[in-house]
Parts: sequence; C-alpha cells; structure tokens
Amino acid sequence: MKTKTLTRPLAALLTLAMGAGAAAAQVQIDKRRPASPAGQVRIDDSFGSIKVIGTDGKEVAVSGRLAAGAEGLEFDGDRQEISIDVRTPEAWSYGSEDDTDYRSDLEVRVPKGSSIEVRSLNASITITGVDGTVNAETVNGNISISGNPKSAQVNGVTGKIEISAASAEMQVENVSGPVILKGAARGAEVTTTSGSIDVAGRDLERVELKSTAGDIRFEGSFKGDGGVSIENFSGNVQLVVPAEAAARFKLSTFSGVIDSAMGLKPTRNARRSPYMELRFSTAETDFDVSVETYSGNISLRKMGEGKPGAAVAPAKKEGTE
Amino acid sequence: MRCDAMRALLDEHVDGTLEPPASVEVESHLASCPGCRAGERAIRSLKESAAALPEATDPRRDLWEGIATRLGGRKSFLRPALIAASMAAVLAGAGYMALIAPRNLSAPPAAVAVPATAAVPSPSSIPALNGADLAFLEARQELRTALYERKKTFSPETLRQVDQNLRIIENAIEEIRTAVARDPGNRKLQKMLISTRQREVALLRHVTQTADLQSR
Repeated sequence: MKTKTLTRPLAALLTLAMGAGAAAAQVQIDKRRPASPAGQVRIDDSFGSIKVIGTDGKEVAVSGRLAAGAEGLEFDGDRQEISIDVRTPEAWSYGSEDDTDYRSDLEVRVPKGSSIEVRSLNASITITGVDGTVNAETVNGNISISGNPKSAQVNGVTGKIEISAASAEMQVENVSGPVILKGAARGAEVTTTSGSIDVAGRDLERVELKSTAGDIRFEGSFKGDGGVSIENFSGNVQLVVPAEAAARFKLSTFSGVIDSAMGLKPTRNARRSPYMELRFSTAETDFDVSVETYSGNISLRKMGEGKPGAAVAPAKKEGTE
Repeated sequence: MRCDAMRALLDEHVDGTLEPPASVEVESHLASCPGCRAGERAIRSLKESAAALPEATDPRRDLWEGIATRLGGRKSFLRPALIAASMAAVLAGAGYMALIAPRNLSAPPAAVAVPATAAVPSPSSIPALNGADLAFLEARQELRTALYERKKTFSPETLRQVDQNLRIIENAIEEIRTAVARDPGNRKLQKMLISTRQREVALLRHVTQTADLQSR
C-alpha cells in the first residue's frame, strides 16, 4: 500500500515532465513557396489536423505546429507541383493506439485554382475555397470540404465525410463512417458498407448510391437523361423528389416494404414472392430513378411533405399494424 | 503511378481497352504492388462471374455430375445424397466453413485450398458453391491475405470496424445466396449477389490500397 501511495505521485510527476518535454519539442511552422495559380499541392500528414484554404495569393504557405514525435516537415517542389510531408518515425506502431505525440496541426494556404491531394491516417481534413480538383484520403479522421471544387474524390474508412460544395462531380467511398453531400451539382457517386449516406442536390444528372447496411437518403431534383440509381441490402432508403419530378421510377425490394407518396401502390409479385415492386412514369422522359433493396424499406416522398431533413423514416413492415 | 490512380484504370486494363502509355504504367505498377495485383485478379474473377451469369442456375447438378463422372458410377437418386452427406460431413468440419466464414483480420487467413472445379456441397440448408462462388472466394482470400499482411498500418479499433463491416457484407452474401438457391431463375437476385460481392472486393481493395498508401 505504502509503495503504491509513493509511486502514484511519482508517476504523475514523470508524466507531467514527459508532457512538458514533448510540448517543448513541438515546432511552430511558417514556411512558404511561390506557386502557380493552378498547380498541384500534395499534403501527407498522418495525425492531427490539416486545414487547406484556397486564397487569391500566388504562394503556398504552411503554418501551424509540428508534433514532438514527427521527424520533420518536408516542403518541396516547383511552382507547378508542391509537396508537404510530415515525416512520422518508421518505428511508430499502432500497438499503443496513442498518437498524441505525433499530432501535427497544419494550415495550408494555396492559390484557389490549385488541385489538392491530401493523404492521412487519423488526421481530420478540412478543405475550403479551392476551385481545382480535390482528392482526400484518410482512415479514421473526418473530412470536410466546402466551396466549389471542380471535382471531389474522397476516401475514408471510419470517419465522417461531409461535402458542402457545388462540385460538378463527387466520388466518395467510406466504410463505416457517414457520408453527407450537400449541394451536389451534376454527378455523385457514393459507396459505404454500414455508414449512412445523405445526398442533397439540384439538377443532378447522374447519381449512384450504394450501401450494404447504411441508411440512404436522397433529396434532390434532376435533369437530362441520366439517372438516379440506389442499391442497398438491409439499410432503408428514403427518396425525396419534387412533386413535379419527371422520371421513370423503378423501386423494388425482396423482403422490405415500399411506401410511396407518389400516388401509386406497390404490387407484390406472386411468382417471385416475397418481392415488392413499384414502377411508374411521371412524364415522357428517359431519366430513370431506380432503387433496389433486399430487406431495407423504401420510402418515396414529395419535397415539402413530411419532416424536412428528417433521417430515413423506416416504412412499417406488413402485418405490424 | 500511385495505387489510388490505379483504381480508376484497373477496370479498363482488365477489359483491354486501356491505351499506352497508361497500360504500360499499369503493368509496371502491378509488377511491384501486391495489393493492386490482388485487386486486378479480383476484377477478372468478378467479370468472369458476371459473364457466366445466365448459366448460373443449378450448381448442385454440376457437382453431382462431375463427381459421378470422376467416380465412374451410375447416377441414381440415392448416390448424390450419400456423396453429399459424406462430403458435407468432412467439409462442415473445416473446409466449407473456412471457405465461406468471415475471418477475423487479427488472425492470419486460413490456408484454404479453393477447389478449382465444379461445386462444393455445403452442410444442410446452405446452398452449394458453384464455379462463380469459388472464383469469388479465391479472389476474396487473396485480398484478405494482402490486407492481413498490412494490418499493422491500422489501429485495433479500425481493424475491428473493418472486420465488422466485412462480416456485414459476408452475411448479406450468404443470405442472397440462400435466396438464389430457392429461386434460381431470379435475375434480380443474381445481379444483387454479384453486386454485393463486388462491394466486398471493393472494400477489401479500398482498405488494402489505403494501407499501401499510408506505408509509403
């Protein structure tokens, strides 16, 4: 008992001393290089946070704090192609699951026309005001993109991905983290396994949303002769479209339920039971809206009806009333 | 060429529609990247499965005919049942479950010899595996091995989540396979099965390639 009483404060002091040492070893960064208005900027930083801001300037500027455990910051390249790389020691392992000493916080200012590529493991990534293409990849960190990037390609595993941008093309792949796209403008392609998908946009020409167990919500208008294609296994799907939406709707589920506010009632296919289907056209059009699930429920709503922005409302299973 | 750039090109590469110099770059990358090589093989297997879709109706019949031919015996009502019972007894112990069961990434993938031909019977009510199933399982095993080799890139919590999500897809695949066995002519179900398998392969590729990117 006595030993414990003595060792606890000692251990606390040691921890404090180590923490102070680490804090003392942190390095403030302030570096810059001239850059082309539409060049490429690559950022690699595994831990902490990365914030990229598009500006009217003609340089790439890196500021922030380099972690005590980082081996250094490489800031190289020419005006067309610049790379920023926070070096993590090779000996680092996930065994301890503690990345505290390796967390660097970077703020990177780039010409707004730049194309951005950001790669991380745990860091949260925020990108704002960039007009070029954006490519971001992280494992556990969250990713947030806003502004008007030409296109956005984002890959994650467990983190939340949120894009609030009028980007022409968005391509997102996540595993268990949720995906939220607001302002999708032309095409959007999202895949998850169990993460939920929430997509909202206007005048969309091509949308492809796929999940296995994550709920999917799509709210938007469309145009042209493309289509909206949604596939899910056990997750629910909610579709919210303008009352005057011109499309050919094809909704089908094997053991889920279809609940439609668009006038028609779904039918059960006796030959392939259990199999519920709803097909109808609202106009002479080549735009297809197709939803397929195995056991997930499908709900079709008109904009302005029901709770706006509500999460997927599961339709009632038959026989539950 | 980086792994993420490969993602966009692998389909075209497998289709043979990729023009040089991109095709040369892809070949060169594949020669040095096991993760992308496994991905390429997985795409080839899936495309072959998809091409074989209309024929994928009754896997059991192929199996019994193949076994009967190999045994040189006459077909009878009882013989397939007996063979099925004995093979199921053996496979239920290790082989079948090792083939289909979700495995934890914290343990090395079991060294399962995936049969190259015909189908594999399964215990009781679980549908037998046909050629397309086996091609997929082989691809999945390769990717799982590749991912296992890279598991140190991820935290135990991340691995747990990836495991959990692989299990979600694998359970979905088994559920759809069972539905296909009950309704073998249902093309919607068959398409859903292929699509769900593609999703598992895509998930394994995605996580494996993410690991490769992180370790560079």
